[in-house]
Amino acid sequence: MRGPSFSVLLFILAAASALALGGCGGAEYAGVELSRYVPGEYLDGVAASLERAGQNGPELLDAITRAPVSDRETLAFLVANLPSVDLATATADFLLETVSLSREARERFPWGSTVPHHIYLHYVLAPRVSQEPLENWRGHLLEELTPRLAGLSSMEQAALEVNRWCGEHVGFRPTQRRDQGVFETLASGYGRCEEMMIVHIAACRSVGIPAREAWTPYWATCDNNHAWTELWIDGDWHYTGACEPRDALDDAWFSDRVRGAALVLSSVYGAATPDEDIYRAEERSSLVNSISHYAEAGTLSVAVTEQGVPAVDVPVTVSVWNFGALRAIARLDTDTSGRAALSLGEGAYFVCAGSPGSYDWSLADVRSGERTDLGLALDSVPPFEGEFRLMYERGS
Amino acid sequence: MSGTTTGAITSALLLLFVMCGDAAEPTGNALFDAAAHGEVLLLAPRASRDEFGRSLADAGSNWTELANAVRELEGEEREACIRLVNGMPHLDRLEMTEETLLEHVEYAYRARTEMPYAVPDAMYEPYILTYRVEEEPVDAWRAELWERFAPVAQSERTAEATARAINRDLAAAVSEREKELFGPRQSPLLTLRSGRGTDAEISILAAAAMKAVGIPSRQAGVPALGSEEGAASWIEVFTGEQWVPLYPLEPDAFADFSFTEKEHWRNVTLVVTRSAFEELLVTENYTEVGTVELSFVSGGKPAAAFEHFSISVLNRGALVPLDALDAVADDNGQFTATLGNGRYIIQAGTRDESGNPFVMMRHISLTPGSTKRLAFDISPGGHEFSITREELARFEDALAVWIAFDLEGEPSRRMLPLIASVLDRRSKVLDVTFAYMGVNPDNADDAREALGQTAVIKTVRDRKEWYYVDELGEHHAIGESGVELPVIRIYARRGGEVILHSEGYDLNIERRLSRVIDDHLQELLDQ
Repeated sequence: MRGPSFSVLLFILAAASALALGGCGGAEYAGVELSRYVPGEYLDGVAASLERAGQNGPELLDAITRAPVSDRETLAFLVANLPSVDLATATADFLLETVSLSREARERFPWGSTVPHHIYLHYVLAPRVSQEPLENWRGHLLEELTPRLAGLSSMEQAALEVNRWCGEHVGFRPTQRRDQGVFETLASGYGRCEEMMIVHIAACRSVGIPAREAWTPYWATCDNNHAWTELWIDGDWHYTGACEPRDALDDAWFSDRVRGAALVLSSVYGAATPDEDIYRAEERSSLVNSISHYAEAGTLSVAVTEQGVPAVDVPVTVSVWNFGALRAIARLDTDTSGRAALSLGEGAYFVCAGSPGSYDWSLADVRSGERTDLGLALDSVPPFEGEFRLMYERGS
Repeated sequence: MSGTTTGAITSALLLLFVMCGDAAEPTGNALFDAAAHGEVLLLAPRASRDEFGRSLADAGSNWTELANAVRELEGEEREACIRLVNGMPHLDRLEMTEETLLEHVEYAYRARTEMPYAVPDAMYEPYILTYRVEEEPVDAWRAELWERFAPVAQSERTAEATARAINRDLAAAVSEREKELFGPRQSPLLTLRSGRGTDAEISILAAAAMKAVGIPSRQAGVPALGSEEGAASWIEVFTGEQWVPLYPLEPDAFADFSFTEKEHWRNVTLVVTRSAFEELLVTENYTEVGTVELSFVSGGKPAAAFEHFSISVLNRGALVPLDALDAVADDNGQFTATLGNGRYIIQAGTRDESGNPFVMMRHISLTPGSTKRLAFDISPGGHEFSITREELARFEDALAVWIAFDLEGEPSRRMLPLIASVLDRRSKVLDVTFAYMGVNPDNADDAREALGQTAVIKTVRDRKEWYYVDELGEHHAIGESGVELPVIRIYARRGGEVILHSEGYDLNIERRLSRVIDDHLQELLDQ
């Protein structure tokens, strides 16, 4: 049978609350002045979360009002960035425990105090890895891993040891489309690469090691894709196979392949810091383009025009050949100057912009350290006809 | 490592195949064990007993939840419940509780027997009893949705009037939001309670509401629209005579098949319906369709089972492949698809040994009732070759293939089926040795399943023997501290030349293997 920790799945649906929902006029919710509990920079985000939480709003408010003063800021960050599905289900206890156990990990291990505050918020406190169900894994993993990390003072050595533990508990096997939660993967002992990554990142965060999801949407020179873990160790990001321990970081079975990847994206809970190459910023999450950490990369800059004038807010995609199709690995929209740009691994790409009746496509060759300029004219509407080879010097 | 050398290659590849005795993993009491828990299997009809046992074993420590639910039921409800358990994806078996499963079975049965309209027997299990619509989490939604909507059915009296009334109710109760990066699909109850959901989540809620009151329902949608951006999602309900569309947020469009194209000509490319565990294509119910017939040849012969092709539509700046077509050529290298009238892009391609793709792209316009035929020659470099066994029997020479794997890491898991598919087609003309280098007996069983009962699998469980010897006589460690598994070497038996060597992750192995084997056979024929 499952241990006690397996019974704390947080997919508990919100019970109808007796509290009134009215009065959410920005800084006040159900008669509570939010600024008493929420730092100014998170006021708008928390108020939006409370409104969006619907019947679960009182749970969030309960957590906000019960949090110790020292935890208010981290709790506010957590709540202000919760995705919609979690706003409607997260309990006050879960939120408070996430905050207190993250702090506990930070205080328990010597590397905890070396993690900058913003890295801590985005990559240790963050309760989400991907599309898994929200589960309260932090306490279980912290207690499981603490004895394994006894005596270790180096964050890197601790990270390697955490992966060894994960490798002992989880192996690879294809599963279903829906992501397994941490406890389900641990219970069955296997998962897809993404599910292995979910367990591994949860384990790292549980012991105060900043971790985030990284993946390549599609490989360029073979079919399929892959997901793995990025770890922030002593100031730099490193990668590792999730639940696939090695004796060093930046070493995995896919190392050769990823050095020739087209694009690697990393997920951020909340807004990414401006020093990173931001691929897409959404309201409560961000994607960072990490390709330059892995591969020889260059910049593809696409200028889209229509009747000679820059075309604004036009979808532009970059594709590679995978599973019998040119599949988009990147989707951008042109800016006010009709341009869209991103970093890509060295190699050849199929680039397309527009919509039926108003589009253009071309091939682009991206070279390391260089900028490739490509012009697309939406009024040209060339047929999608042709035969071409996309060359990558980095074949298998 | 050099691929050219002489002589002693055969002996240099010697491996000592030593069995290791202590490989069995401890089995916890919490897991299902057919020997210890055999009485549970007796609950299932004889014909489905083995499958039921495998399903419970797949549920990890959660098997007791499933078994307890089955135990609680009797007669046809019990049998239906067993079929549900046998049809569940792995994760559902881990998440499902006794209480939730019983709620689904019991309330589905109430809907079948207490509604004022009849539920067709053949529709009951696939379209009402199934607790899953799409990729939402397992949830006990049936009782709450029953409480809310059964009174509607009692007052409306017919399935169609009930569906229309619930449609109006839901359209007023929920609104659409964008999909977000983090988090799973919402359960139907969460969508209803929060009043918000993505297009797909609202469809899931609508389908669940219909199931709850005994109206057969399934999810439907266009994965990539032909003229608007994005996809469309709705549901279909069976109201006594036929399946009709129900658009959750557009109640006035109930049963209007032309709704998606009303203001957008050529919008419907492909309509896919989905119910629990199966998909059906029903495009012709929604729009005027045409036919695409594709044929693929390689080396002048039909490219049987060729699958590196797709039919796409331009949508939001991308060529979006219609993957629901499940594009695989038949034994004659043919593939036929029925699609809505519109413009499509057909792509077919191959990769060279380095993985660089060669892409062939054609653009077609499909008009109602028309058939478009396209042929692709996918010969790689013009020297793809096949040989009959009779032809080969004239030669004494053959290739010897040596493959080491462990099925523990992802490379091995992913590559072995690819390797097996190549070698299977040529197994009678090759001397193939698979060396299983692992300690996990489950993986050895998986290997047997992947490679077939006739494959020669040598088991090497002693870690000391996890090495191979190259043509220079050097030993190379395999596994934990050595090279990545699988290691694949192909050498000519007489020539002793290693003509293909691959270590670790190489998802182009299928093509590389095919190429090297076919080239070798061609040389034999040419002699």
